[in-house]
Amino acid sequence: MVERRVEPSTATVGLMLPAFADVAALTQTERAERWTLRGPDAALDGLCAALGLARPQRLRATVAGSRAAFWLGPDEILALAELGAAPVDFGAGSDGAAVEVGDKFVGLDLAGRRADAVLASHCPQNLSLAAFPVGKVSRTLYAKVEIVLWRRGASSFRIEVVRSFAPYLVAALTAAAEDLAALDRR
Amino acid sequence: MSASYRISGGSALKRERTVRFRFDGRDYVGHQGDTLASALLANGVGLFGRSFKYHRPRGIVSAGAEEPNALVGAFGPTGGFTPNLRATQVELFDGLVAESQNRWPSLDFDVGAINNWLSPLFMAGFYYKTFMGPKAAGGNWVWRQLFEPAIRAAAGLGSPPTEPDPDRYASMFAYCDLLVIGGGAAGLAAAETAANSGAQVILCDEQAEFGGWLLSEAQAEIEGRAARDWAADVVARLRGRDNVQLLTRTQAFGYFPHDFVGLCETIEDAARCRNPALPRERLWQVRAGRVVVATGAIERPLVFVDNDRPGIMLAGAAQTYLQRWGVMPGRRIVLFTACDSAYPTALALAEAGGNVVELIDLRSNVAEALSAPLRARNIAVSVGAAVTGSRGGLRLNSVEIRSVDRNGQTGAMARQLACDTLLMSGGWTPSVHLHSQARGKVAWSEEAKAFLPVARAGGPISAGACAGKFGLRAAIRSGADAALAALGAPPTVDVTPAVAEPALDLTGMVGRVPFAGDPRRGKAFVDFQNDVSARDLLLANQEGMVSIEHVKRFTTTGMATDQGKTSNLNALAIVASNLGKPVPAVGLTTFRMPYTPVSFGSFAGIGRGDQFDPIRRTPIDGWAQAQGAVFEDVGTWKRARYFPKPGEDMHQAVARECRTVRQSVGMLDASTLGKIEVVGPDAAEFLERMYVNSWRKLAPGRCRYGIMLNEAGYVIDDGVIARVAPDRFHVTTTTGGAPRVLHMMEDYLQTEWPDLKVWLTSTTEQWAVIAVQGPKAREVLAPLIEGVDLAPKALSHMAYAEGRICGVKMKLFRVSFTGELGYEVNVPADYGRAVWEAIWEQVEKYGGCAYGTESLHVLRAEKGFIIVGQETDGTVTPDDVGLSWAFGKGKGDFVGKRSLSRTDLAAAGRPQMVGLLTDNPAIVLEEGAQIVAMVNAPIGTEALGHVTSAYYSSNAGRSIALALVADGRNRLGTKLHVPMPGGSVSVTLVEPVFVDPKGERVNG
Repeated sequence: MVERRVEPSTATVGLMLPAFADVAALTQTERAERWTLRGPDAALDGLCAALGLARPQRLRATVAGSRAAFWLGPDEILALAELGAAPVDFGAGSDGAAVEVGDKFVGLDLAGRRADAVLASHCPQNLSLAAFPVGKVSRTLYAKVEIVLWRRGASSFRIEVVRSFAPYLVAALTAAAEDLAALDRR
Repeated sequence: MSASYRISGGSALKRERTVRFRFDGRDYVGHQGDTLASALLANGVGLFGRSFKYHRPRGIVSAGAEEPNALVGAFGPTGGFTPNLRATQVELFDGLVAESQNRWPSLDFDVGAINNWLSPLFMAGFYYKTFMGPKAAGGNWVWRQLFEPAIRAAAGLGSPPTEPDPDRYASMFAYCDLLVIGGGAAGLAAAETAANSGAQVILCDEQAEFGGWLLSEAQAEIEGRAARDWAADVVARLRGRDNVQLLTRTQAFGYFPHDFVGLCETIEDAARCRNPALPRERLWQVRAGRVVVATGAIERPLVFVDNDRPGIMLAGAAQTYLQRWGVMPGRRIVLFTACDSAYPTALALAEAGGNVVELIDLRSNVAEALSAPLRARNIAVSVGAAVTGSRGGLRLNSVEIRSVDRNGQTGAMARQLACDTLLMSGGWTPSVHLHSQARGKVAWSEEAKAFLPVARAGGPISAGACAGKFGLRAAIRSGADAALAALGAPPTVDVTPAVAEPALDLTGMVGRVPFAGDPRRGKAFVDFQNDVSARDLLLANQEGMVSIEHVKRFTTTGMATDQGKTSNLNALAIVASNLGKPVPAVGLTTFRMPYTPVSFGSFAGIGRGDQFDPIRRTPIDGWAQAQGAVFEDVGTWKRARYFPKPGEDMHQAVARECRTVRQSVGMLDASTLGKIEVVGPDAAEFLERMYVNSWRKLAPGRCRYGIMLNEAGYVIDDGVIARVAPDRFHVTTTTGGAPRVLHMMEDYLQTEWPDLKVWLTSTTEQWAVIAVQGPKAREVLAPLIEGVDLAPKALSHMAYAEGRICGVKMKLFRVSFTGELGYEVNVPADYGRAVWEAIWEQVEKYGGCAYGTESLHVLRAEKGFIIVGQETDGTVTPDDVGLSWAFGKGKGDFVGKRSLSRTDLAAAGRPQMVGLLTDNPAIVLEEGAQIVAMVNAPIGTEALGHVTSAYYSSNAGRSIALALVADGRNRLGTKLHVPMPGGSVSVTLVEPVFVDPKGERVNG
């Protein structure tokens, strides 16, 4: 019997969470389980169903309780679930793939009056509500790193970023927020 | 000097706010709202700089972005220095320090001005012809080593800053239905028209306030009010709308494909004084649905001898300084014009109390309505006359005037007219720069004496003066029409406001003003900034250059930082006249971005220092930092290179780490290893095709070392691959090769084998990887692991198992890159640090160590294991590096297979990997060193190969090396030589294994 037990540590991504609340607030989300789901639509239907989720349509998310599925490409979905639920059984022999990536990503919530402008500072996508409505998901760029961007509200976004890029991303978001805070008060 | 040129008025000024500043070491006072140019003019400073080549004294010519002369260096509010700023665009702030350029020791007394007297030597092309060294001295060696550095030091512009830029630079991506560039009459009308239709509009203007010429207009009224008040009303209405983004101090510098426009917004320096946290600039990258270009027109100088003396200025600029900044340009003012706009200027100056002496008009026919109001104010009006020269030192003191007949012949008699200020107006040139950048064509209009934009379907729409629509009513109308056309809205009834304005002919003249005598005498400047005069253009034509592109490069006309904004059309017309051709036959040079210079900082944005590129760190990085590890860059990753103990250098630390691993146990953070999960019923088949090895028969729970080739048959990546389940493989790649391998796999899957049911997922960052290597590795791990039997028979070399370590889900590989008993523990990344520390406690019990990438390299070289990119360089086959054994027997096709049968890849005698032992065991060879057959081979001897890896091996007790040597395996036992600066080093070729040649330790 092994005596030694260890706890996870999320501080290793070295996040800075500065206060620029009048522009937007950035918070790191709780640890979560994540899966990359890949395959043809029929397989993705089954894999999503195993999570109790509907397969998301192009550039959209589906949500059920604390679980969500993001469409990333014609054969790729990123699914999230909170920790601690019963193990998910994706079933064997499917034509698709479910791969555990819970620790590959760091989740960030960005919300506030100028959240869209903080993102637009370094994200080349059109983030107007008309072009990027609530519920839209896109795998895109922020400055030099790839992110998954999900609009949860008019001024509330979830960002998923691969963990080693998180410090760069947070620093870039911070710089953008600081610049906007100063520019807005001009 | 008192502010004696400042009069009342000045719409841009806040008179109650004085601002102190310093120019060339002298203190001055201006007002909030001043530019450096307006404030210095108000202080009676007329001398702003020395010219580029001849070091002639120069003053202000313009009031805007087109300024060719008044380039200054200035320190910003945060202390950052910027050279080559146009004084007309530098806004005053309290404490501004600026300096003139290109003068020594001072602006008033400049040693380099001797160039002016030597100028007959310095005609265009002088440098090319004169400073070529004799062939015997090595062609142009003399030019490069001697002349060019000296000339560059004497010529030129300001000095680059010596300190790192202290400022921040922001950026923003924006989308809009309509981008309106230029906020004058046309731009304001376009923006408001579009805004009224509900469109999303961005309106930008390079100046501190919107209005363009409306701010300088002295006579015209719109809807019964001063033009500038109308502009202020429009701006106020636009400000109140939420579908309009207004950007002042924002230059549209580049027009890219698909209506993508680069804007550089400058943040007001005065605001940055109050809040140093403000960025200096913000780069806007705007994707516009449509674009209206309303960039106005630039007044042309008149080309006559000595037209560059301080005190000679564009007439429109003088009117602008008067209206916006309350500056009277001189004490005794003369105007010289070829178009109508100088008349209202003269009137405005006189009405403001200026001493306007005379207006000289090149034209013979001038409407009485224009000249009568001037004469009524005792301003002489001489028509059919020209200024043909000027006198003065650091400031103009008189001009020479001659009559001009209808054929353009000047009269014999010249008179001198005393003045300290000459305002010139050669007509107005539409600014077609952005239209041209957008690949729009221009067409010569003889009527307008200008190139006008030709509309292109879907392209930017030019409006106002830049489209040749002069006059305020015409500009407003064309702006509104452009907005409607851009948005696809039907034309509406004409709602253009009532404009009361004089009808002015702004055509003017292009080319050189009629002159007397030899055209090669005297300098009639065309391009002020590059010191190009009419005679330089004549010389270029006489030298046989007829293309404007050749003339431009020979004379450098239009090639200065102002890109010839004030000079291009005159240069073109002079060349046309020299060649006896019409202007459009000579052609037009390309308008290039940026419209005016843009700072590097603006482009760099946040991409500097640690944010230049992402710096990637592993979950265990913090532990290594705390242990004092020395890091190295591996791709974008930081990896611990070695862990020095106090007093150890790298060699001592590495020697200790390597010894410890083979004697006891060591642990390595291998988290950066690329990982790809390959899943699906066709996973094995897919790997069969991507790797040289066999995978179908690999049992779940087993690993195999895989080699990947490119189509050419060369090794591009390697790594251990475990079969996790019948339909699931865990592929590892090199650290640097991970993205490339994944992309190549996806590429083949999507384009070559879309029928294969297999799916790829990068799991590099999901798993922290801890390599535990050494004879004590099993004892170290055993107490921490559940669910896996570590007994050698249960988990043999190249086995894979899943279980738990310290309660955490684990993938365990029994693999070795050291030749020792070894494991690679994979745990979810969040647990990496904690599991590492738990293993570390165990390792310490056995006297083990943490080791870094340097020891990793030595340990694998001791065993002759290759590193892709070190032993391979993109021209190496598996057989070259002794990996033929890895090929799957009887398997089908795989990437690179066909190429391996090419004659040269199958030939005998190819470079093959061998080991090298130096005769002197203390000498460590240099990686990359060449290997030859002869001692002290002469230069030019063909090499037999080169050293790929070389280390001191504490385990072998001597230096070791790996090398690629032609036919190396047949040369084993022979001696070759490695020529080095200190003399040849003799080496013996051996099998590339230096420790445990039988390979037994790995099975421990």
